[in-house]
Amino acid sequence: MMSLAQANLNKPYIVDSVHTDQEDIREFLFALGCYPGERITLISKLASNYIVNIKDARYSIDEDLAKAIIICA
Amino acid sequence: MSGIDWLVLGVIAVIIFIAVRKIVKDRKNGAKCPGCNCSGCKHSASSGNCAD
Amino acid sequence: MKIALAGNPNCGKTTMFNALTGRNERVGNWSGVTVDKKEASIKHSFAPEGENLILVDLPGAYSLSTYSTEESIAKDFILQEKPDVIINIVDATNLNRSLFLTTQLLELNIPVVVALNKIDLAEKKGNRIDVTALSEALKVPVVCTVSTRSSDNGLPELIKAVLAAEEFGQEERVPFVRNDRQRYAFINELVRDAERKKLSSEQQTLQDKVDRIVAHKWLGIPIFAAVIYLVFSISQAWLGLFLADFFVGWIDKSYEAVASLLGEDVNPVLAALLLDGIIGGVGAVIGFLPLIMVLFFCLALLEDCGYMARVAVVMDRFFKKVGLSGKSIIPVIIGTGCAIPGIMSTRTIKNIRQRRTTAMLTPYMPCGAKLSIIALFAGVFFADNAWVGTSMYFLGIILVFVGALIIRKITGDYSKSYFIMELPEYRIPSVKRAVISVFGRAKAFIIKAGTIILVCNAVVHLLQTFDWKLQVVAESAPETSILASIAMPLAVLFVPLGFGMWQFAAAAVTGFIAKENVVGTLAVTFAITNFFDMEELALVEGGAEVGTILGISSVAALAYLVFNLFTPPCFAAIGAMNSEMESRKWLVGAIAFQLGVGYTLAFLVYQFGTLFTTGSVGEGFGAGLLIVSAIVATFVILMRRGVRKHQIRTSVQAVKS
Repeated sequence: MMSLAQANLNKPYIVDSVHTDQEDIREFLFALGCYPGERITLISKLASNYIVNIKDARYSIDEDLAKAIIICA
Repeated sequence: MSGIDWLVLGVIAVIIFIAVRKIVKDRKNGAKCPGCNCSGCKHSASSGNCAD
Repeated sequence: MKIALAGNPNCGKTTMFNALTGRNERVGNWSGVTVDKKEASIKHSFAPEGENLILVDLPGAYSLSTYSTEESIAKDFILQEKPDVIINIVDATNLNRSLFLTTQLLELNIPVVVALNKIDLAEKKGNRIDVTALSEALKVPVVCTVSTRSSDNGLPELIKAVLAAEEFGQEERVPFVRNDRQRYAFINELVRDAERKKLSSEQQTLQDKVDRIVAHKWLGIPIFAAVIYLVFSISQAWLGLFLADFFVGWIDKSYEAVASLLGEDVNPVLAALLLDGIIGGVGAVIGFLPLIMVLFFCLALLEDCGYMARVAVVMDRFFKKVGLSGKSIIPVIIGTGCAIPGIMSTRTIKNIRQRRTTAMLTPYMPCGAKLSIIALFAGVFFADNAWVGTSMYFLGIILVFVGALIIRKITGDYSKSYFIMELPEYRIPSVKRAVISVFGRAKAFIIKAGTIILVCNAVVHLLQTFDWKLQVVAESAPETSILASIAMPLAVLFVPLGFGMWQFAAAAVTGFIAKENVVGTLAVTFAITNFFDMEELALVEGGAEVGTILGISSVAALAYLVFNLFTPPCFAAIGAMNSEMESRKWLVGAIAFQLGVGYTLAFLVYQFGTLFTTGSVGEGFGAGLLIVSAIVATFVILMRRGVRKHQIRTSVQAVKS
């Protein structure tokens, strides 16, 4: 199982799960379209921030969150 | 005090009166600084213009 | 009839709100600009005769569940206030995600009209949306809008649809789906049918390349520093100063006109009150209006282009080291305009310690009002050197970091929260919008000057004209006035800081009512009518006139500047802090912290500066050292206690697990 932190740039992956005990962040990510079965693409990696693309929008997430998003290899 | 003194005093009094009235009016509308509506007007459903 | 505007953050709600109501609410190209609900009546040109349509702008929400405070505000409003119609603004460039909220809104049994906004941007990208299919699938009217255009923007049609929706109501709605997963399944299918995209959003674009530079690990900071320096130079040294000269000339002429109108026979007390107290005092402040306007203009452009979110990304790495997140930089930047909206925008920060910390540190970025104090001292004592102002801003940022560290230690709260922030597309900032917003701010500034500052100056003038026996104070003995006698005991405290004169003490105190009052009060107490010289396109050369009148050294002036910048902000801002702190303990702590920091910094600047420039320490070194040591000791004790609290907490958790 790979986390988003280990993903390659510009390659669409499918989200497997979100590994966190904070329910509210999981719900938030869901509303944005980041949930098991949906696509997510890593656009850039800048220092410890990851720029991702979810459903036509760009977001900056920090390293902890990137490690928590598990993707299918 | 001559006549013109009373006039000047009157002018000053009017200026201050208008200023204080505006301060009180804006305070009531919820603006924290007179004239500034950035502090968010509290629910005044009528078009209570903060900056009018 | 009440109409609510609901939609994702940054989809154009506030722009539409402004267009429909004629208001000038703050708009910015990042999510989290609107944190408060705002109400106003729709302009008569849109509404039919006699109807009073009230429009409510809500903070953006991605869904009706409540991760963030803004989403709770939106949800609570809709559930409690029961608007008659909801206008759901859907961002046409982000159709899929936007519809998540839409499906939730449709289940509320309140008539909904969808405004498909930013349709121009979608078309520019080559995306086509089948509006009819969308409308049929959602079973609501869908109106295309471009809220940034002043005409041909779909707004009249939107209002018509809203009125129709209210009249005909909405059929009892069966929930679309049983759970959120089905929600997205439904949406995905709908979008597949209704939307044709030219480019996949997953590809790299030019904007991504720009982001890679702007938010770069090492380049990001210097770029940000350059931007701040540029903004500051333009407003204080170049354009702002240029405009100020004209302005001040005009103020001077009015002063002379009134003076000649009054003639010789008028009671000197009254004349002085009107000329020096009112016109002089207010004039001194208004003279800085051009500087502040240019600053706000630059800020508006900056906020409009979309750079702010990138700044948050750049700063996140550093803010994490002091227990905050990149989100905290935004209130700080807004605070460079006015601390109050900055403090209010901390609502977007979820973690309560981070929110409170940011709220109390936001005033450390000099606001527009403080800019007039900076400009005054920079001009009078430092020949307008742009480094004076820039260093104050950098000192502010440093204090934000140091302050955050200290607060984290004191509270012993090391909780972290995830940082996730939407990066909106860059757009060319609209000069027109910036100009409109600047004129709004200018008007507010002038009103503020004509009210609070005017009254303060008048009061100050009266208090310094009369002594306790209500007799006019002699020219040679200004210390006998009421004002002087009140301010002198306080001035004693300021001796170790280099400005132990009653005029400065009085000015600092009036500064709590409005920071501009520092300028106004100094003008009144030293009988200066303007701080600019008409002959030269600059503030009077340091030392020549105003500097000597003020009677303190440059070092002391710098210390005074530091003091006023880094003590507690004006009462209005303290009030805003109070709302966000939600705790008396935190509020008192915040104010005490700010007082302590302001005093200590001013002490250090004055004493070390004097030592450096003259080889010996300044007055009151011993007493000041005592006070400062006490302040520092208090901080250290609190921090130690906090560390212990934290250690206990972590060891308890270790035992539990």
